[in-house]
Amino acid sequence: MEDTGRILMQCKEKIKNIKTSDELASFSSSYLGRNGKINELIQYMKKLPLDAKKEYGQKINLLKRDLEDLFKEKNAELNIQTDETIYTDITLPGVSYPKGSLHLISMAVEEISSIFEKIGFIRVSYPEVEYEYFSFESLNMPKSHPARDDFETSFIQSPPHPEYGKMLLTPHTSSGQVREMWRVGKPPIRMINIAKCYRPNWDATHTPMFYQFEGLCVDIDINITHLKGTLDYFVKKYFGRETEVRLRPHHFQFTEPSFEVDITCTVCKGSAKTNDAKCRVCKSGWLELGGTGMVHPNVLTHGKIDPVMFSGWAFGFGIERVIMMKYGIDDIRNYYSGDIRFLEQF
Amino acid sequence: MNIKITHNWLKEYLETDATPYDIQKYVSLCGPSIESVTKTSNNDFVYDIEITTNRIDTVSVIGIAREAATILSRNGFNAVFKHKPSPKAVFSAGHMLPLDVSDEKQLCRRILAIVMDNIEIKPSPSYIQERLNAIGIRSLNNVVDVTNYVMMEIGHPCHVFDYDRIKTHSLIIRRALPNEAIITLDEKQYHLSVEDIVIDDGSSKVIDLPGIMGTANSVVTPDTKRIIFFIESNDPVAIRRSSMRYGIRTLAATINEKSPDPETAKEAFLRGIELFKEIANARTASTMIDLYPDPVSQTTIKTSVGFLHKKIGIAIPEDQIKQILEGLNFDITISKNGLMTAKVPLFRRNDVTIAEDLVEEIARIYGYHNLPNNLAPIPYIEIPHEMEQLFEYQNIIKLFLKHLGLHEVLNYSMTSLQILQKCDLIPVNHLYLSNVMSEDIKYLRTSLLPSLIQNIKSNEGRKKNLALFELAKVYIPQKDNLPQEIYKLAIIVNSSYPEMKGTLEALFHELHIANYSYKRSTHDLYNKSTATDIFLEQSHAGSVGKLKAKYRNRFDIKSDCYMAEVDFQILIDSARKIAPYKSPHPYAIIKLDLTLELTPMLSYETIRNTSYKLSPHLHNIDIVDQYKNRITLRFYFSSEKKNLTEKEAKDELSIISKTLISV
Repeated sequence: MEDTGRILMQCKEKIKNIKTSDELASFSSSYLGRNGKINELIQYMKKLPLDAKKEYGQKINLLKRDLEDLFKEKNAELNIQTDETIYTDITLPGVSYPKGSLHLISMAVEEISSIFEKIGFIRVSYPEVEYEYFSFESLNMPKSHPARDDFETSFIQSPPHPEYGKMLLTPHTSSGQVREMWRVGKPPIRMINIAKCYRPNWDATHTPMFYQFEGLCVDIDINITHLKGTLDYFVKKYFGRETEVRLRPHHFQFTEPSFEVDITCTVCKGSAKTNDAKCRVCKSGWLELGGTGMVHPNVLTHGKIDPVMFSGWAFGFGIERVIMMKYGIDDIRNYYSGDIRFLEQF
Repeated sequence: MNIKITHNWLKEYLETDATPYDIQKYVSLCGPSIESVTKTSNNDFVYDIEITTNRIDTVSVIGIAREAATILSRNGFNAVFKHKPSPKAVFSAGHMLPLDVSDEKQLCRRILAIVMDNIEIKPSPSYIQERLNAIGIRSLNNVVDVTNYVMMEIGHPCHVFDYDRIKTHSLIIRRALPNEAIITLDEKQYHLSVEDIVIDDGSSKVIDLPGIMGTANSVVTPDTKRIIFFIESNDPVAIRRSSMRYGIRTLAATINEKSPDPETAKEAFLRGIELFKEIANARTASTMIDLYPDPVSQTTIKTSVGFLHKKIGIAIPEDQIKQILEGLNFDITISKNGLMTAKVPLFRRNDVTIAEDLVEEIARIYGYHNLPNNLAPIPYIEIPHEMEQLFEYQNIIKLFLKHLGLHEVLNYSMTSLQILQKCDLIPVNHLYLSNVMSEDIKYLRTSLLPSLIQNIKSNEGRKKNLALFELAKVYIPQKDNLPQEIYKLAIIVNSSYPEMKGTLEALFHELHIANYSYKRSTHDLYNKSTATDIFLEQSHAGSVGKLKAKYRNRFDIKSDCYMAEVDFQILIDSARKIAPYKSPHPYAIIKLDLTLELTPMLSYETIRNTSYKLSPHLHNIDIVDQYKNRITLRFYFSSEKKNLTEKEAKDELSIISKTLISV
C-alpha cells in the first residue's frame, strides 16, 4: 500500500516543473483522471478487508482534496503568469461581421415621426395613387390651376371616377389632409403624413419620385403663433438647438395666409459667412425649408369641418430637402439609383 | 416667377432713406421675396424678386414701391410712395386715322388701342437702355423699348403693331382655326389649335398671338412710321394653355396668365402714350379705343377685429390694423363694437376675397417675426391600430435586416415596359401613366423583384457580395377603384440559396413566428429546383428561390441571384413581440444523432413533422452536418417531469428511425 503522504510530496515536487495550462491539465489527469493515481488507489482499496478499507478510504479522500487544491492553486498561478506574458496585437481587426445599412430616407422618417410624436402628432398613411378630388379640388385648386396641367402632375390611364375625377400619382402629401379630416370626423387633428410623391420632373435637382412629410393641426382657436411655435420646435429638434426659423409671405391655394419657411443656414449658422468668405451654401444666412400656412376655410369645408368653429395649420416639406440641409447630401439622384456605394455609407 | 427691377427706377416711385439692403431685408420679410441685390457698374442696384402668382400687382416697379413704402415705414424708415397722377391722353387735332377693333365673342376682358403717327425710330435715351439692360431685357429701339419699359414699370404687358403693315386697319379677336399656321416675331412657325386666341386683320390673316407673342407680319420694323399701341386684358387660363402648348414662355405670357388687373392695363396704356410722345416724337392719331364691357367693381369684406385677433394669435390694436390696411390702399371702417368693413383696392381684388386674406395682410405687415411662438395644446389622439402596427414593424424589420448585413434600397414605384417584358410580366395587369416623361417610369410595380434584379445588375463590379432589401408598396389595379396599395418586403442576395433562406428564417425567428413552412412553387421567376412558396400560419405569404437562368441571361447578370418577396401585412400579422414563455426544467436532456438520406419522398420537413408526431419527448432537432443529401441530425429528448433514461430516448429515436426509413 502506497503512502498517500509521499504521493502528495512527489506531486508537489513535480508540479514545480509545469509551465503551461495544457501540461497542468494532463498532469492533473494523471492523478485525478479515469486512469489516474486516485482511481488506481481506489481499485486497490476494494481488495482490502472491511476495517482497513474505512481508514484507507479516508486517506484517499484527503489526498484527493489536497491534490485538487494543489492543481487549483497552480492553475491560478499559471493564469496570472499567462496573463502577464502573452502578446496580443491590439491593432489587428476583430472578427468581421457584416454591416448593413438603412436608407437615408428611412432614418429621416423615423426621426421626424418621433419628433412630432412627442407633441401629440400621430403618423398616418394615405394612398399614393389618388383621385384629383383629394389632390386638387378639396385643396382649393380648381380645374384651371397650373399644377393640374399634364406637365406638373403624373396621371394614370384609367376611366375617371364620376365624383372624384381622374386618377393620378399624388404630387404632394397634402392629399391626405381631407382624408384625415374625413377619418377623424371632428377635431382635434394632429397628423403627420409621410409618403412618396410624384411629379414629372427629372433633372440634376429633381427626381420624379420624392418624399414629403405633411403636418396638419386642426382644433378650436388654432392661430399663426401655434404654427410658428411648432416649426420652431421641429427645427430645433431636427437641425439643432441653435437653429432659428422665420416665415415669409407666400402663396398656396390650400392655405391662407401662406408662408415660406426659412431656417438659419446649417453651415454658417446664419452669419452668411464661413472663414470670412461668403457662405457657399446659403445666400443670406437663411435656407428655404418649404411651404406652410393656415388651412384655407374651403379645405376645412371639403373636410366636413366647420371653418367658423375650427381653424388649423398645415405644412408640407421635402424629406430629401431636410436631409440635404442637415447633412449636406445633395446628390439627390443617388437616392433612388440603388448604387451600393451610396447606400452602404449609411 | 422672378422679375428684376433697379433701385434708381424704384426710387422714382419711392422716397426713402432705406438702403437697397434694408429694402431687401424688410420687403422680403413682409412682402415679395427679394432674393438678391446686385450692384451694377453705373452705381445702380438690381433686385431679383420672386413674385407669387397671387401678387401679380407687385410684378412692377410701381407694385414693389407701393409695398416697400408701407413695409419700410413700419420698420423705422422714412418711406413714401410717390404716386404720379395718370397722364391725360391728348389727341392731336384734325388728324384721325381709321382703326377698327372688334371682339364679338368677348374673348378679352378689356382692349385698349390707339394709333400714333410721326414715329421716329431711334435708340432709347440712355437711362431706359441702361435700366432695361440691367434687368436682362435687350434694348432694341425706342418703340419696342417703350412696351418693355412700361410692362416693367407699371406691371401690364403691352404691344405695338406697325399700322401700315395692317392694310385693313382692323383688328378682330377670334379663336384660331384648327392647325392654322403662324410665324412669330422670332421667325418660328406654329400650328395652332382652336383653343388659341388670335388677332385677325379682317382678311383671315393672323397678325398676332395676343398676350403671348407678336407675329412677324405685323410687328414694327426700322422703317415704321405709324404704330398701333395695343393692350388687351386676356383670359389667363387660355394664355397659360397656349403659352405652355407651344413652349412660348415670354415674360408677357407669364404675367398675363396670372390675371393682371384691367385697371392697371389702362394705367400702362396712358404711361405708354406718354413715353411714345416723349422719346419717339409720336402724336396720337386716332381716338382711344377702350372695349371694356364688364368693368371690375370694388369688393368689400366684412369681418371683425375679434376674428382677426383670434386668427393671428395676438391682439394687434385697432388703430394699427387700420393703419396697416390703409397703407395697402384698403378703405377701412371699424364700428364701435369692432365690426370691420374693408374695401379692397381693385388691383388686389383677385387675391383678397375673404377675411382670412385680411389676416394675412395685417400679420405680414405687422411682421411674422414679431409674433410669439406657441405650441397648441396636446390632446390625446388615437392612432389607427393597423397604421401603428405597420410603422412599428417597418422600423423593427428594416433595422433587423440592416443588422444582418443587408442594405436597404429604395427604387422608383414605376418601371418600364422593357423590364416587365424581360420578366414575362403582363403589361395589362399594371396601371400606367398617361403622360410619361420617361419610358423608364411608366408602369406601376406589381412586384419589387424586377427592380432588385436591376439593382444587382447595376452594381456589378462595384461590390462582390450583394444583399439588398426593399420595403415598398405595389399597386394592384382594381375595377372602378383606386388600386390596392400593398406593402411587400423583397430581398435579393447573390451568394447562395441557404443564405437567402437563412435571412428569411432569421427574420421569422426575430419576429417569433412559430409556424412557417414551405411548399414547392411554380413561381415564374424561380428555377424548378428552388421555387418555394412560403406559408406563415397557413397563409401564403410569398415565395423564395433562385432566379431562373433564362432571366439571368436576359438581364445579363454574372452571378446567380436568390430572392424572396413576402406580403408585409401577412408577415406582421404572424409576428409576436415575444414567444409564449416556457419555464426551464431541471431534468436531463439526452442528445442522439441520426444520419439520413434526403429524397423527394423524405424531405427535411417530413422528417421533422414525422419525428415530432411520433416522439412525445422530442423537443428540438438540430442539423449537425450535411454532405450532399446525407444529413446528420441531432435529436434532443427530455421530459418536464423526470430524468429520462438513455434507453427511453433511444427507444423513441428507434421508432422515428424505423418509420422514416420505411417512407
